[in-house]
Amino acid sequence: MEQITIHFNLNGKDVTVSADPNKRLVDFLREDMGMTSVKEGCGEGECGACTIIYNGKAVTSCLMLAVQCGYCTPGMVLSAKALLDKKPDATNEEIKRAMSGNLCRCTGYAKIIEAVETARDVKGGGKA
Amino acid sequence: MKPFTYHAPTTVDEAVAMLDQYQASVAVVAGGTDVVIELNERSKTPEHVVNINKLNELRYVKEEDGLVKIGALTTFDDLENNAYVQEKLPALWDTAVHVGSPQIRSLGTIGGNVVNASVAGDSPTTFMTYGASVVLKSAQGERVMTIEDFNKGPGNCAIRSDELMTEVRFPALSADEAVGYFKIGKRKSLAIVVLAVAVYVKRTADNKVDDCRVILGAVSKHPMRAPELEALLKGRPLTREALDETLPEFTAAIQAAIPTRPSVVYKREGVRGAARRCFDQVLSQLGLA
Amino acid sequence: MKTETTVKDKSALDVSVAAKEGYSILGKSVIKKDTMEKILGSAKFAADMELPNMLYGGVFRSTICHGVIKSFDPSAALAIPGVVTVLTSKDIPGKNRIGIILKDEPILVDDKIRRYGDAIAVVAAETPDLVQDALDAIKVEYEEYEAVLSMDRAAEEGAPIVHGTTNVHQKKHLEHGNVDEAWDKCDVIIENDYETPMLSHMFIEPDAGLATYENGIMTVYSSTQNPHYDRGEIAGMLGWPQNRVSSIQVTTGGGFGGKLDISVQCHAALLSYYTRRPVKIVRSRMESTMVSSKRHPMKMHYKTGATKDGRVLAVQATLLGDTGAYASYGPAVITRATVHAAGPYEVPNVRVDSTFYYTNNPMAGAFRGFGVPQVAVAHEGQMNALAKALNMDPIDIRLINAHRPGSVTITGQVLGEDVGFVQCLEAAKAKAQEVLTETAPSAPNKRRGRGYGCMYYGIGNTGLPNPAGAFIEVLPDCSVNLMVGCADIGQGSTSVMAQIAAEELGLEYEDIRVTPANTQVTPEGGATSASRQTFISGSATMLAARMAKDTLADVAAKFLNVPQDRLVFRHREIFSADDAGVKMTYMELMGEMKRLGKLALGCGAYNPKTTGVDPNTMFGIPFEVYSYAATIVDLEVDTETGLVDVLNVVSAHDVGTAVNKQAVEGQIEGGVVMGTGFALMEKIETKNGRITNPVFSKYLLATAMDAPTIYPIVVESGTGETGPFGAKGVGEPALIPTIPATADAVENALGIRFGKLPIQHIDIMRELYKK
Repeated sequence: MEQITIHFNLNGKDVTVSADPNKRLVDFLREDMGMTSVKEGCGEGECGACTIIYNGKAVTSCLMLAVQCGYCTPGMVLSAKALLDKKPDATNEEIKRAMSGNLCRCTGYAKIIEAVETARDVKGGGKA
Repeated sequence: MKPFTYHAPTTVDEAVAMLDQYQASVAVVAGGTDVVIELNERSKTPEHVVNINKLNELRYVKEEDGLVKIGALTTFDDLENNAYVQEKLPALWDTAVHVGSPQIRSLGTIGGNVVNASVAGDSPTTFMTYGASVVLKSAQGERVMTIEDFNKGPGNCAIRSDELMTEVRFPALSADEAVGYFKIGKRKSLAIVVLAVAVYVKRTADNKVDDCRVILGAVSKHPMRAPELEALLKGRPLTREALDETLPEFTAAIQAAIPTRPSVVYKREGVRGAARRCFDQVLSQLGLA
Repeated sequence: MKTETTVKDKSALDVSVAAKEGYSILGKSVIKKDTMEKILGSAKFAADMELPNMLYGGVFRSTICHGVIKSFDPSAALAIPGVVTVLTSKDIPGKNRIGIILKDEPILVDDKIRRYGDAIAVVAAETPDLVQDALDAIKVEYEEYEAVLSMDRAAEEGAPIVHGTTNVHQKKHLEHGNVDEAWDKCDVIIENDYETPMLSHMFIEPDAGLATYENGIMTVYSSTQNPHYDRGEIAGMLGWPQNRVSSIQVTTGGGFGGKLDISVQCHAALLSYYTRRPVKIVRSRMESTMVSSKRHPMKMHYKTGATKDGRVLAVQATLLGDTGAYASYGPAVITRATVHAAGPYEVPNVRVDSTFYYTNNPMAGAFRGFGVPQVAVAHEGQMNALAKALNMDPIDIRLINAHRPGSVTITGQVLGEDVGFVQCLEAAKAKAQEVLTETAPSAPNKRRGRGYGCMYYGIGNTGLPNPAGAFIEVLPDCSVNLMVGCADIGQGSTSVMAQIAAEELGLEYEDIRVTPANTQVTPEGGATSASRQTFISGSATMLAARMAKDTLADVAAKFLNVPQDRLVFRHREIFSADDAGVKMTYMELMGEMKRLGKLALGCGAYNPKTTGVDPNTMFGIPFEVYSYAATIVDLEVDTETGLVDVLNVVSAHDVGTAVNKQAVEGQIEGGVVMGTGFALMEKIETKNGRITNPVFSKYLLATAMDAPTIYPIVVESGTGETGPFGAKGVGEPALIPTIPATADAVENALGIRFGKLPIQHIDIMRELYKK
């Protein structure tokens, strides 16, 4: 099959690779780029475990008390980051809405939402 | 995924030429929230895939010549954050913010949503209520047809495999027009449409219903227009009481449309609440609430 | 891959509760051991693993639910370049029957197909796409039999038989006091039917595993709740001694009981055995949901009698359950449901008759609570109905009947001191008074309701031995290796074990490195199920640490010239209880150990103190300890859409001793949201034995926007006499009381009784507008 050449920035690094267009982005990132933090949970865009964003890499430690099984966590982190990059002062309702495309079966979301609130407050205060 | 040849045109003309060439076996990918899943599950196995995501010329919301024109590649997230939509098209805004999840809204396009023509699609109901048409481009030229006619096409809708949907357009609203929309989903996010009601109203100088459209979503295969309800509403004073009097007829309309479907038990009751909230929005938009 | 990380220093992070009084580590909300890897995404789940020369595996499954294979033709699949092998039951060298309790499930179908999705063949190929090509190319012809698709049909004379000679999978009878004579003494008798649906665990990580066969050892890495059980099944399949199989649990993305049965382990191992190459199998969401076990759907009839002042005198219950095509944990579910049938109340006269059937429906097995969530729907429904009939406060009527220290259960067990149910009820009531101050609906089209639910839950397997072990070594630099069989599937047991070991040894949490759930190095851990690991593996860990400490204490006693029983080990120091100035550091102690040529080793094993239960009456001591809970739910129902908005949930749990308070709260919060889903949304639908909603777009879970505000309350009744420092368990209890409380709240909001779960929007609208 014909390969296509793509250029992009992956977690701060400029990358040029030859890729198989016959591949979903989740498979490309996992198999070709070794990014196994991109998880597949459903294959239909319903669970958000495979969430990615195009820029950024910082992870705050506020999720420390929220994590249980950890499978939804990378996707949650990125949804939170996408929100806080756009809206550093997001309200609690906005946080819930921003996280509402990521399913979690362990935590009941409470500590995850709290963690994002903490991240917002810490970020807002310029401490992290 | 089955092997296919991948194309990523950068202009509409280029895309249309490709569709003309590969129309025998081609799939168009825009946001990919439906098509990529079908490709992955092998329920679609085209020889060619044309990714139109680079056609930035199809990403716009504008008012021009008395028409609201929305490019087919406009995402739901674009709609949500568009000032014109927020201000002038509250029902479309409301539709956009209730689609899927943040991830789906940032990928999913209105063109994909309309062309996919799912029974439970979000935006076709709303667009139909605005009296919208779609613009279809091919190497043969351009066709414009109403969404109503578009939905009656062979298969799921009237698009040909050599055609690209480029735009949804509908008349801009005057201060005497309003559209209300209400979607019932089973949860607050990631909810597909269980039932949607959308109502367009144009008022007379003495605040009566001059013209109207009532569209029921997720009842029939496509958003369904309810002429009997429209007839009932026309001429009515734009007051909550007068409008609410018609609610039992919404129940009758659903009962008549899907008498044997198991979901009729729910939809014939739920429709009143959804319609009532549409009326509330219409009244509020017209400054009559 | 470089990932930049910003981490606040540990002390800033420690928002935690301080250690429990009298302890240095216990009760502290320490950061769980694997947290950072999980946040960064560097934690390796089974699907993330790669080995050189690895193949991908897949399973060819039946598309009928009852019948036999007339012909099977893999030739077209084998002709595809890159498809390496296709294996069937004939290729299994050892035993082709698996099952945690009864071995009734084939690894690959040999005699007949009993459910939709039975495994017929396994395929290995060079890429996942080639696996799919091979599966698409295999041809099979079936002879289809009439399928048994309901319990009613299963029970009928002349119905097709799924296994052996009868469709009755198991029957249980519990008899306590004299029910027949009790009814006459009752002022009020309530009789109702209840029904709960088949449910899916919907852990977010689909099942996955990787097998590799090298040097005569089969190593299987998998997402599992029970690697030691997996080892036995893999060895049995290969006809090998168990010590030739190394079963290693890798980071597991949730389980809830759904990863207790064998998933991909045997299939991957068989493919690796024949190809001599590593083989990875990753199930799709759909395949995972189609064939992993489900919650037993149950039908329950209850008759409950009480005096006019609210004392429950008698309960009679009939429980029917569908275990589907295979037993899985069916025998455990029926037993546990039967002995918990009357709820956390002292009821003098009880009769329970339970029958579970085999059908051609999906296999039902373990799911968070083993039948107790189902019976809780009924016994709490009865309690709420009784409160209404007697015009009593729902908490007050429970306080009258509640288990207390010394109460007698319906199996005749006399409870010990650590029964905190009354505290749960009182704490929940007080919290509700504080936070649930609003009672009016938020809009004219809405109605508001409050509901109540309670539970008790026996920790560990029901009346059966279920030991677990631990090995420990304190190294010369005071760091510790702890090897414990317990699988951490996200609930945090690895960290709980580290806290227990650190507390017992007098070291810090950071000093303990835990190697969990690896049959090559860890002793039997038993299943991560039945909320048993904190109690059982935790006790084993404590005993192992104590053994190592005995050696250390002997040396320290001589060095400090203090009697052994007057030594205190705390925060890396050893000192005299009578004179804190007489002390040595742990480093000094380890130096002394080295000088004397001594090693600080320990092993521990714990089996809960239970008896079997009498087969005729279920009398006995099925569990050593019980956890208790009381939950209050506040919600609104939209009468125009039938949609329910769960607003607030207060949930009080007696966990004995909370080893990690934040982790306990996390369990409670997760359980509450799963419980509201059980009551309102979730249900597996089947058609001709096939699941029609096996994906997240059709089997709906609550999202972050749907989750209520949750007020978890941790009640600690632990006396320290049982379990590690008095700890019990919370994993399953977290779920249970929210289910009946949510149902009760909807019923109270609308004044309509449902009894059948889930109460979906369609049910609400049907009942509200019934002609």
